[in-house]
Amino acid sequence: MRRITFFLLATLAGLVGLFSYRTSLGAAIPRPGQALASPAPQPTRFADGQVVDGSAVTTDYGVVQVRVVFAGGRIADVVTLQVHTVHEHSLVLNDFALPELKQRVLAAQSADVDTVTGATATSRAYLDSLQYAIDQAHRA
Amino acid sequence: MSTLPRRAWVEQLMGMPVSLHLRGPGLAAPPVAAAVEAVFALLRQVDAVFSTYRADSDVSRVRRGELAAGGAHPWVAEVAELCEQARERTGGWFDAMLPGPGGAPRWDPTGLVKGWAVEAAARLLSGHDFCLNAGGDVVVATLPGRPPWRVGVEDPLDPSRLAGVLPLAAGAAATSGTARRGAHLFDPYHGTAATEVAGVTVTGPSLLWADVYATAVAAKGATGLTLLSGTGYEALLIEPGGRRHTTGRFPGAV
Repeated sequence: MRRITFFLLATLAGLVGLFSYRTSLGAAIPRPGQALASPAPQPTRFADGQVVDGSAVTTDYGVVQVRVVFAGGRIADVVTLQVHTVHEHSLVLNDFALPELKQRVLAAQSADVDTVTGATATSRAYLDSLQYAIDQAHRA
Repeated sequence: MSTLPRRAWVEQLMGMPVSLHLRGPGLAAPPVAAAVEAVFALLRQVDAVFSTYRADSDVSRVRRGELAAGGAHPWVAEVAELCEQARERTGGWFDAMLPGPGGAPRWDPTGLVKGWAVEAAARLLSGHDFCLNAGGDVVVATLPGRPPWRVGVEDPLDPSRLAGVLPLAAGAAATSGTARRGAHLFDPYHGTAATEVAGVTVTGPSLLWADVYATAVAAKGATGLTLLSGTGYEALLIEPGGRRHTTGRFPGAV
């Protein structure tokens, strides 16, 4: 369940500015593969009702594609477009993982935070953390 | 709602994720990249000297008796002195002498090195509007006219949620607790794992001391908040049952 959540987060984060936070009106869209020294991405405003679809990503659990709906410059909803699972076990995982992801995205966004303090995050726990999502949204 | 440009850089260092966020115009300029690289380079060097996981680090060699303390990197003596100060300032509740695998105490400055190193790295960012987060411990600085950084305090009882938000214009926030790594905190007076605190977040001017106090309070329990009296550091503490305590001037919304 944790791992599929991570895949969903990563999928989402790589394609759109996952979290809006206070910078939501001027959120930079991370460009996958962008080099460190490249120019900072231009601020982008997400219009009300704007829908951004991620590309389909193949994970260990199957093919995952997500759609993000914006309202007021913020993420209003996260929807899976396709989750083609490899086996039945993954179906169960997906049933749990997507609501968890959605809840996490919406909760963090409503709190409007720039960073998160917490007891020492191991590298593994980090991949499943709010801080990871924030970092991904602003990665150069 | 801010429209400040912002960029983030992340590296895994000292066994934890270190993320640096900068705000403002000109973040693509070469001097910015150089400052960012200097921060990560310093932390890599600290790891090479202090890591207890690396057999070739100075600290590992000192522990095995292969290197005299005086022959180690000068940082080791500096940190040893700070560990002693930390023990005194916390009435013994911060202690770098931790039980080793056989139960015998051995010197492990890891709990102080992180705050010390990250604070030193943050000094390399003087003049920048930054937020440096190393495994959940945070140092920020804000340029004039800019909003404070909003630091979410992870809920130790449910790490996918926030227990509160702490606006921080300058200074540090550090959190200790049992949420992430299980009962890794050690009560130096009773020789057992401390469990009375799910998480404690301490904020104040220096990350080193915020971190030391967070560790000490987590070891002592809710009564440990009195250690902060008159220090200029404030805290939010959450017990395993969910009960919350704050010091008088804790600045965040909880």
